[in-house]
Parts: sequence; C-alpha cells; structure tokens
Amino acid sequence: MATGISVKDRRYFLTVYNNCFVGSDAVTWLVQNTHAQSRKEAVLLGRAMVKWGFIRHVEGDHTLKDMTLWYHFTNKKLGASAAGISPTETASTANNGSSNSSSTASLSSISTSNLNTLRSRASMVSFAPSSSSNSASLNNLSSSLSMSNLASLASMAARSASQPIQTPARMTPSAEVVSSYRALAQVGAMQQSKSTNDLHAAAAGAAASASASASASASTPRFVPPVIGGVTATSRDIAPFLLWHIPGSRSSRVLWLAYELDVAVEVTPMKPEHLKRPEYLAINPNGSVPAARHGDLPLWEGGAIMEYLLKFAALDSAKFESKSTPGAPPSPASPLQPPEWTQVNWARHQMYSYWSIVTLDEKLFGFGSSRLTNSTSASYALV
Amino acid sequence: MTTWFNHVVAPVLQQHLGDSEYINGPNFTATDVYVGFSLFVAETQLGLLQTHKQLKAYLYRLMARPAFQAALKGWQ
Repeated sequence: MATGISVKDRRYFLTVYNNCFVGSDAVTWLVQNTHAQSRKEAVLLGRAMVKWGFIRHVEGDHTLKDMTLWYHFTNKKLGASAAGISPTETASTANNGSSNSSSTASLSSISTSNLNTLRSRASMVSFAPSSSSNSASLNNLSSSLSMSNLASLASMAARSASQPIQTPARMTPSAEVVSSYRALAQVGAMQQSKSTNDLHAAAAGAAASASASASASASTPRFVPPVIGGVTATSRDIAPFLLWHIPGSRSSRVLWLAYELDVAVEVTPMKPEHLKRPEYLAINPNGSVPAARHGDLPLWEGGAIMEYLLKFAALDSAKFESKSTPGAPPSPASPLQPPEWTQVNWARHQMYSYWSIVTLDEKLFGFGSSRLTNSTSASYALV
Repeated sequence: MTTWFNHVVAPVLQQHLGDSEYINGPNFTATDVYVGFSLFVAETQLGLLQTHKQLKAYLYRLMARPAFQAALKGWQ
C-alpha cells in the first residue's frame, strides 16, 4: 500500500506533515487492488489497520475514513521484512507468478508476529472463563479471538498470495502457530470462494476454528459456527446457554425469547453496580447486560444475542424435523424467525426502539450510548 | 419523551400492528419480543401507553404469554 498511493509531505496552514497519505486514496487503492470488494469493506479494513497501529491519523484524531484526512504509516512491522504490510502485497501484486516461497515466507512472518503482538494484547479482548472451561482453553480462546482482528487484516495477504499455506520446514511451529495458519488459511479460503461473508464473518469463522483446533488435538474436525440451513455439528449443541441478566432490565428480552424458543438457559443474576467490575468486564467489555456465552462463543448486545438464539433454534428445529422425516431438507428458519419483510424492518424496529434502548436507559440507569464500543459490532458480526 | 413517543414511535408501531394480533401478522415472532419489551417499559415505568389503546391491548396480549411471565417474574 505504501508504494501504491501518493505519500508526500503536506501542509495544513503552518504545520507540515511529512510522508502522509489521504484516507480516501487508501480506500481507493484497497478497492482497486481487490483487497476489498467495496469502499465500505475497505474502510473496515483500514480501521483494523488503525486499530492495530499500522497506520495512524496525523493527529491521532481519526480512525481511517473515506475522506480527505491525512494518515501516516507507522513504523510498526507486520512481517519481518522492512516496510509494514506492503512487502506481501507488493510482492504478490507486482508479480502474480512470484515464487511460492516468498509468499509463504511473508505469510509465516505475519502469523508469527501476529502471535507476538497478540500475546501482549490478548488482555484487551479477553473473555472470562465460564464455570466449565479451564484457564488453558481460555487463553487459547482469547488469543485466537483477538487474533481474528489481525486475521482479517492478514486475510488480504492470504488472498492475494492465493497459495496453499505451508509451514516452512526450518520453522518449528508451536501448536498455536499451527492453529493460526489454519485460521489464516480458512480466512483466505473463505475470501476466495465467492461467499458473501464479510471480513468479520470470515474472521469469526477463523477464530472459531482456531480455538477448536487449539483446544482439541489437531486431527479433530474443525469447529464451525452454526449456519442457517447448513449442516453443522458443534460442541454448542450440548453446551449450556449462559446468560448474564439483570432482572427487569433489557436482558429480559433475551430471557423472554429463550423461554419462547424453549432454549435451556443458565441465568447468572447481576446487579447494576456489578457491571463495571473487572471480572464482568472480562465477560462483556461494554459493561452492560445482556451478555451470553454458548460453548466457547461469547456474545453481547441483546439484538445480537437474539439473532443468535433464532439461528441456533432454527438449527435445532431443522435437526428435529429431518430426524422425524428422513431426507427432508432442513427448515430454513426457526418458528419465531420474523418473516421476510422484517429482515428490513427489523432494523427499523431497532431504530425506533432506540428511544427505549439508549434514551430511556440514560434516564433511568444513568448510562446510554456510552456503553457501545467497537466490540459491539464484532459481536454482531459473530452471529 | 412523551412527544417523541406519541409522534414518532407510536404511529409506526400502530401502522405495523394494524388490526393483527402481533406485529408481523397473526403469528408471534421475535420482533414482538423486541418491541414488546420496549412497550412494557414504556407502560410500566413511564405510562406512555395511556392514549394508545391498541398498543396497550397488544402489550397485554404479550404479557399474557407464559414465557413473558417467566422472564419478567415480579416486574409486572
């Protein structure tokens, strides 16, 4: 990217900013070089780069936006080679027939450096243990989940390299490194296949598969998140659905829907004053209810959890139906799935419910829009 | 807030609800859960539904559901 867009000194009134580029240029470049399918997707990608410190607004005021804002490349290295993410990209974009070894090598350096960065950052996106999981698998989970952010970033490289990812012989990878290869490979594969999944979904899938392969032995089948109409077997089938709930609060929605769907719920009752305690923030970084956990999948935000419940119930009823009438195609929707038109209007309902979700909360409980963090969109992306 | 509810929220909900039993028609769906809880808070905490008989009747239909009563035990 550093070579593909115009990087120069720019002057704003009396201040000169050295070696900076324009945000919308970067977005254009990402789209033109097919690292993103749309400008929107490119912006998401760019935000990830800002978040992980590869690029930075000249004043540090903005995340990447499709606007005439100026950004620097930071000195942070993604790979072992010199200039940030550009080596992989330039290598593969400059010459599609470039040797396998260079692509693979830069990929491997990405994933090892990923892991190093991650170890230091895992605490940012860590999730607390449910009563049933031990701390070892928890570590794997948190590192693989935060890895998903980087994995989406690195998926550009994986996609443009379009090579099967191999472990170089001279490296002696740990189990974690191997699992990260798998995650990267899966992200790459999902990107290459014409699936409509966006980066987040791809990253979520990668995270899930990485956590499964890291916690179980390498030969066990991959962990695949439930898909409507798809056939999946997951550990969540037998895992309890854990819900953190303040009685009478917003989380009642989730509980209500769970009861309607006949999903077995294990409720952890909470009090408002417990929300900002570190042990709860580890479960939900937003410090709000509802938060849920199903198997190894952490969830928060009522709307996201409800969507997940619907999908899960759909999967469940599909299994039940195909069992009762063998050969029947699985049902695409759960009994309570809103009909087609609602897919559009659902968002509108949520918008009109805004007055209760944010405004009302602000009035009654003293918190509102401030509860929303970046992680919220990640939670929506998971389901 | 009362004005907002009366002029923005209630007409939209009213329009979707029409004469049907639930917001998406005759059958209960997850949308009813989402909207229903908002209405529940509007009614019980703020008394906003006084002038909206249809919405109130709709809310009471929802509140009669066993799942609602189980989820909001002691809050009705």
